[in-house]
Amino acid sequence: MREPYLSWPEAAWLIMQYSTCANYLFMPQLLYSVSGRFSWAVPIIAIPPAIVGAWAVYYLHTRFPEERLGQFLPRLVGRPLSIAIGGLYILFWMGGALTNVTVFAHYLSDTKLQFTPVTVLVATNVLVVLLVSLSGLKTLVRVNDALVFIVAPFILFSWLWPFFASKLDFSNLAPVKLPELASDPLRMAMAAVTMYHGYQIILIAGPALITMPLLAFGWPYANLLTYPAASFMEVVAPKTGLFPIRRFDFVLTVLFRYIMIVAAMSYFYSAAQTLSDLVSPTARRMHPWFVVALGIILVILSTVFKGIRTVMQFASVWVILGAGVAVIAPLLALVAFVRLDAARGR
Amino acid sequence: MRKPIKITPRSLPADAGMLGPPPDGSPEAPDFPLDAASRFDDVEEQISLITTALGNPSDLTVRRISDGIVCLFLSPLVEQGAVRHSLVEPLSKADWSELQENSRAARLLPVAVVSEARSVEGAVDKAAEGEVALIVHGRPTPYTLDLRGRVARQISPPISEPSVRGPRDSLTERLSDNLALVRQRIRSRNLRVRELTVGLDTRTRVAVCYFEGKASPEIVDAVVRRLSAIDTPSVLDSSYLMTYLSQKTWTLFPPAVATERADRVCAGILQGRVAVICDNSPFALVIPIQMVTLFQANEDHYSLAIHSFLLRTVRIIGWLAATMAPGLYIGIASFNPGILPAPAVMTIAAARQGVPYPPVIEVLIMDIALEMLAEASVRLPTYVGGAATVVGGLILGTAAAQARLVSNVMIIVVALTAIGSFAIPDYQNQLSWRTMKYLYTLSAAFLGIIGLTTAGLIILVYVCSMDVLGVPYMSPIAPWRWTAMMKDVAVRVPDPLAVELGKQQRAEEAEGAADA
Repeated sequence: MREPYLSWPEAAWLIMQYSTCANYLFMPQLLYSVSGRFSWAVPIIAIPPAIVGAWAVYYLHTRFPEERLGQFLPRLVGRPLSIAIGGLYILFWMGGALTNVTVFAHYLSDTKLQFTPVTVLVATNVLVVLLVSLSGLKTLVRVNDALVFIVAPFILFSWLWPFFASKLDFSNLAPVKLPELASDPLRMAMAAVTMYHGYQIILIAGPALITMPLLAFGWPYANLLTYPAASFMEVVAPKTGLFPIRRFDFVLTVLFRYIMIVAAMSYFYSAAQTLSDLVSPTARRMHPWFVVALGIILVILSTVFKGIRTVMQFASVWVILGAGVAVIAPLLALVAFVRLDAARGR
Repeated sequence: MRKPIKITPRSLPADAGMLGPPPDGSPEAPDFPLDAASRFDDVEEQISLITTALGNPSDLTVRRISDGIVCLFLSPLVEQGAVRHSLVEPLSKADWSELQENSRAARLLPVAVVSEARSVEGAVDKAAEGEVALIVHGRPTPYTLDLRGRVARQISPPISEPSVRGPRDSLTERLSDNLALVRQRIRSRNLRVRELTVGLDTRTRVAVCYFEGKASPEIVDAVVRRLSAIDTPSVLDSSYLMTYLSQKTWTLFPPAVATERADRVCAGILQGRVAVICDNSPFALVIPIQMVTLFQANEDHYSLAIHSFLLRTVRIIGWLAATMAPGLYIGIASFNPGILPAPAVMTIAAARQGVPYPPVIEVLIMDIALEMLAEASVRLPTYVGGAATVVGGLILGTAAAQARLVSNVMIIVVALTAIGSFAIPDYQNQLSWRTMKYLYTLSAAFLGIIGLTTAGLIILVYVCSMDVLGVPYMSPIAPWRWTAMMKDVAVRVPDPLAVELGKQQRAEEAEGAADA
């Protein structure tokens, strides 16, 4: 009954978290603002870079099996460059954590909890994120694993149910003409699902939340009606007035919160751990007060944002950071491959 | 650290030959006159040392069997008939010279084991534990014989874990009976039992049972090591051991299953877990466990797979109701009424009309009343407990609603909470979730349904951070263990398939351990 420290599914999940850099897929508005009408194609285009990123992380792991990024970077690229690259990663991860905890707090403050200050909502989110980080990597992975059982059925539902709603108009995806791709739209949708089969659940969610609103509302209404994505449930709401929970979007909000927290805690832990490793490479664990201090910084930084629009503007910049990080991971793997002996410290 | 007993040699007490009554009162066992003492000084010295070390208790019996052979024991702990048949009768015509060697003594005495105490002090400990000290002239230390016997409760049906199907016998307070119940069910040579003594003052016997080849050697070693290291003065029940085994002082969830069902103990052993059976306790601990184990009842394995799936689903719904119903009520009534259809919202609002408190106070009043009711029904005798439940549940609740102290909807919520908590199988688990209910309630009072999800996340983080003897508490859900999950989590697969999956699971665990 004894368990290894990290099993392969846990390691695989971590690789997903580190490599995809595509968490913004959960924010349809953000993606719409970045990619416009073609947002639906982004998750598909994201596959090759994600695969390369996953491979790069895996390769670095095999080269440095017992070490973390902040620990092996100085030996791989030298101290100055390691601080620069590490700093970039920390900025990216802290930015991800900040976006996730803040955007959801603003959304709640605007819609569901209008009398609650945003800072209180941010602090609540940060509290959960801090608890995970203080508990360590194993807990982080396990919480991710457990939440998948809540999130995955929702994602599956989001994918399949609209097909039964008869409100979809595939011509909304034009100018790419659907008949030129497939004669049967359902088959095409099935093919899209199959393409992701066994790959990354994080990418499965993207199309569900981005493509479906486009199919249902068309452009630019999808952009207006998904704030951040709740109105999407209008598509799937049954017609009967006797349905007990009419405001189904609240359930969706809760599920979004789980997705948000998965992302935020992964980002925050990565940032805190990398910073700790760069400062003190020999420390086995992060100091608790160090983590708490970073959490307080996160709350303070969140006060800079005055509304969901400013968070979105920040997130647009953060996406560029993400692209940079996505490029650096394969580059590091390449350096490790070339400088294998040096990397191993021989 | 335990202080050694200080033995101070002293002269023979005047009444040394008459300490305690004869074990069986039989006329063929005469006490020897005190003048015999002069011939067997060493025997008298040992008697003196032992009686002094034990504080010369009134229930200490010193039985002079023949010249130079004396047995000494605490009469309430020893089976009197066994003393007569196994000790007095065989030795009444024996000479002390025949008992100088252990092998000869073993041949003379019809008992399973004749041990040699390492010292007189060791013999004192053995006598205090209920063994018979046999003092023989010419030997520096006494022999010790296990002729323990005591009044014990008969094996009866389990009280705290009743079931419709399955065996009806439960553990008792006697360790040997409990081990017999286990051995009757697992008649394999691979069943291992290691006995330890814990508790500096109580000297409680504890048996560690596991199945060789299924239980992880590291876990077995850890259990034995932690039990051996216990330095508490008293171990009066197996529950005393729980904290020491998990090495978590402030844990919110039980790290081990405490069960009085012998079949559950055996099931745990056969699953590769370790059972800790404590003398004087009818509850055995099965360790390590996972959260999912606490939602399983042994009855699940005596029912059809589809039926057990239904029962487990009902339990999960009950668990959700028991923990979240009050918080959900607060969330809907105070923060987010819009998630319900307008007629339902109006019903709740109408029911709350005239109630002078906010929903959170209403919930806390009723929750505390429910806790008091549950506690009272446990403490009261059975025939009064039923009446108390009726008074508390029906009369008080109805009166409170009529007096507008609480709303009618609140009564329904509390009833749902109570029924839900009773559907949770394990009592300790039930208590844990009853405690967690307050976290949900207060979080919901703070942030409505978002607070409820926050509390859920905090609890999730906590249980995910828990390990019991190196086994993740939330396994096989987190981390994912697909084989184990398919085998016996939401659905218990039928037995032939379970056997196959069990083999696969063990192979995966072995592979995982090798990787680690």
